[in-house]
Parts: sequence; C-alpha cells; structure tokens
Amino acid sequence: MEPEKIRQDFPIFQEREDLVYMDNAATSQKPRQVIERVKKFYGQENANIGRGMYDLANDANNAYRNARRKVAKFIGAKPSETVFVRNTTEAENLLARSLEIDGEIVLSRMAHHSEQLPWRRKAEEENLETSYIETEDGRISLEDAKRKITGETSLVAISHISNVFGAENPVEEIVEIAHENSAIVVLDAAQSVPHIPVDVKELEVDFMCFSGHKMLGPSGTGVLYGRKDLLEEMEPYQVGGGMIRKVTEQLVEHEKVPEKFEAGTPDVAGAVGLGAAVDYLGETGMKNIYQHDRDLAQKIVEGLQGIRGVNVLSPEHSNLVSFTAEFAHPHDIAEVLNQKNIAVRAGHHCAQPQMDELGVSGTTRASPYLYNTEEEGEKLIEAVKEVKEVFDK
Amino acid sequence: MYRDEILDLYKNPRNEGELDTDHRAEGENPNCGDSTEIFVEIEEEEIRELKHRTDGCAISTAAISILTDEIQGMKVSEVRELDRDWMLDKLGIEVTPMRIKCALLGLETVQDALDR
Repeated sequence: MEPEKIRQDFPIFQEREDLVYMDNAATSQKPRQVIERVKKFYGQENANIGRGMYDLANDANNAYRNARRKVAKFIGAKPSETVFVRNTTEAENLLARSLEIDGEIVLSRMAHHSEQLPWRRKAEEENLETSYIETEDGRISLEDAKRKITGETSLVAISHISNVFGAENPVEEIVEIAHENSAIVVLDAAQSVPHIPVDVKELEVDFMCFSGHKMLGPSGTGVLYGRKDLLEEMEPYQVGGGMIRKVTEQLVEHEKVPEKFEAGTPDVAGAVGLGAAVDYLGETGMKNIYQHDRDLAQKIVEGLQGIRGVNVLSPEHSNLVSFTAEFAHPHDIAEVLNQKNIAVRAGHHCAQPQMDELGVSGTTRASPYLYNTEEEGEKLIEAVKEVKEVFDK
Repeated sequence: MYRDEILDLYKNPRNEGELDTDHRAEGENPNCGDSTEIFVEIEEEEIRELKHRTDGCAISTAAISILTDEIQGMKVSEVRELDRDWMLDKLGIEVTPMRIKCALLGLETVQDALDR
C-alpha cells in the first residue's frame, strides 16, 4: 500500500498541503471517488426512491439498492439484514428502542457513550439490571466477561475496537459466552469496520452498528446490521412513509426488512456515496489497511515512548495511539500540535467512565488511516518533543 | 498562546490551597476534564482572600491564577459584573474558540461561590 499515492485521491490534502490529519477515529477524509459519486447522484440520478414510476426514479432506486448491496457484501451480510441509518449512535438507539429484552444488560467499562447511554436509558425505563465488564490493559477483560455474563443476561453490548485504546477486543470469545447464556450480542464496530476486515457471519454477532463517515463515506451515513429473524421480530423504530405495505383506518402493515426500519426519505445520496467508499476500501484491500494502520500506530508508539514523561495507554497491536504526558494537559498538547498543523483529538473521547477508571481527565489521541505516511508519524513525534520543550522550560 | 507568563502560572499556580468558608464552589468543563474548586472569604462585601484547587490545562490554570490575584480586595458586586471580555483581557493572549471555556472556568466558579 502506498499512502503517498492514496493521498492524491483526497482533495483536502491538495487544498491543505501541510495538514497532518490524525483524527480519523472521529471522522475520515473523503476521496474524490466518493465526492464525485455523490455529485453524480445529485447531478444525474436524483429522485425520491420507492414510489416513482418514471425512469429517473428507477435510476435513484437502483443506485440506493446497489449501495446497500455493496455495503452488505463488505461486512458479509445480506442486503435484507443491512439497515441504513444516520450513524452508529442512531443504530444503537434504534436497537434499544425496538429490541425487546427482559433480562440483564451487560455493557463494558470502556464503552463509548453512544453504545452505553441508549442501553442505560432502556434499563432505567424498563427496570432492567446493568453491569459493566472491566477493562484490562486496554481490552475488555475476558475473565470479567465470564463473571458478568450469566444466565440472567439478555443482552451484551460491546465494542469491537475501543475508540480510546484502539485495540481489538476478544469479540469471538465474548460472543460464545453470550450465546451459551442465550444472550444477544450487539457489536459497536464504528472503529473496526473502517480499519480491519469484518465479517458478521464469522463473528457471529446478532447486531452490529457502524458509521459511514469514519470509513471515507459521507457524514450522515451509518449502518445497522441485524440477524434477519431478529430484525423481523422487532417493532419499527420510527413510523411513516416508506416503511409500510398497507395502511387502512384500522390497520398498518409494515414493509419487510430492512425497509421497515427506514421510515421517511433516507439519505439516498449519502448511501450512494457510502457505496463508493466501500468500493474504494475494497480496492485498496482491508488487509492492507489493517496492516498499515497498525504499523504506523506502532511506529508512533515507539517514538512517543522515547520521550520521557509520555505514557502510552494503547496496548500492543492497536490501530490508534492514546497517550498522556506528565508535562502537559491533553488539550495543551493538541493545541501545540495544531499550531504545527497536526490534527489530533484530546479529551475524554466520549468515554467518561473509562477515563474515571484510568484516573485521567483525558488523553491525546492520534488515529492514523490509509492516507497517513510514516513521515507524518515522525512529524507528530517531533511535535510532541517540542511540546515537552515548551512545557519543561 | 503559550507565553512564558502563562506557562509559569501553569507550573506554579498562584493562590493554591483551601479556606474554611461557606463560599466555595466546584466547577468543571466535562468536555475537557478541567476541574477546580474555589474558596472565597468575604468580609464586609469585599473579597478578602481566595484559594483554589485546580486540575486543568495551562489556559484554565493560568486564568485561575490571574483571576484569584486580580479580584482580591474587589467588591463582591464588582466581581459579579465581571465578564468574558474582562477575563480574556487579563489573560492577555489570543484564545482560540475551543479554549474560551477553559479561560472562563475560574470566573464562572468564583461567581458561583459568591452565591453560596
């Protein structure tokens, strides 16, 4: 894989030549292929989907359907199991609203607020117990998972890769424990689908949520994967146009899945753009991206560990680098880096309970992606050294 | 932004400590994790002494140091009237929009403490 060549596809790096963009865990940049595809949809194919009898509406329908097919294939799912939503948060909220459970909900300490709060609200409203699997060296503790997931458990909501640490959790093992206890597994894959090959059938998860904008797609795009039998049992999240088969005064018959969960006009152009993003990732090769992101993160880790006072929180084989420094607050580090045109994230990363457990107010996080080069990694390390010089004076 | 004076106030905050007073308040910026607790001693409607315990970034810590120095001896009514422009002016550096909350954490907490 050649990041230097890949960069050429991203207009933002031509516009902002010196930009070192390492906040990919928040959102990714978009290649020309995605931007052009969205533009083409609006310029040549735009119509509402679902109802139109004319050719243009047919083109729009086909574009949307193709996008769904591509995204489904990308994660090893069927199109009927692939629901388009706005983002991971919406997918989690949809599930928490529509999925009926009657037992305990098991979450993780490292959970992003978006995979935590919808379930906490459900638990509160429906009087369900919750418990949290502890974190062990940046990963969900398998030992603790064995303790927390019991016969009382109805649902286990965990993330594939934490946005705080960047390390892969032992998902397959946790799925096995959950299924032995007849519990449903919801996987937050917002940080994994963009970075590693993911196949829902191999992972055997029951539901999976991820965002399109973190994987080169347009903002406002996200996906809920669900096992078909479970999706079919569920009540729709929102009701309205586009999700019904028949409505009379007495009766409402819902569409089949996935349309049942897509009330109203969806973000058609966004979905089409996400289809183009998936094409781009597929052509680059997810295995290559996986290797590249980890290698670059590892190089950054090695560089940072050479700076006295820096503490790297990401465990080995992570695809991002979370760190703190004795000499400066995360926000000050990010600010000085920004003065050198390096974009990183600082704060609690929407995981306050995890920050509390770590005993830090926040971390600085550099999250590389396919277009980041080794040279950029070195720039980052040099910049952190300069932060130290400024603050250690 | 990180002038020597700011860095000095960050590394050696002024007026750190606690006071036995009812006029105390905690403030935090949950988004960045900055937190402070400020203790104010009031005598005859005047700020007699201030102390604080702060765990924050350079901007919030420096701002609290400057603030606690500046308002000692001021009238309570005057302190209530102090605003963002006053604080940014005293801080004396260009603060980016994302950091304004850091700069104002101390002032908001002090004003909160006065109402206790």
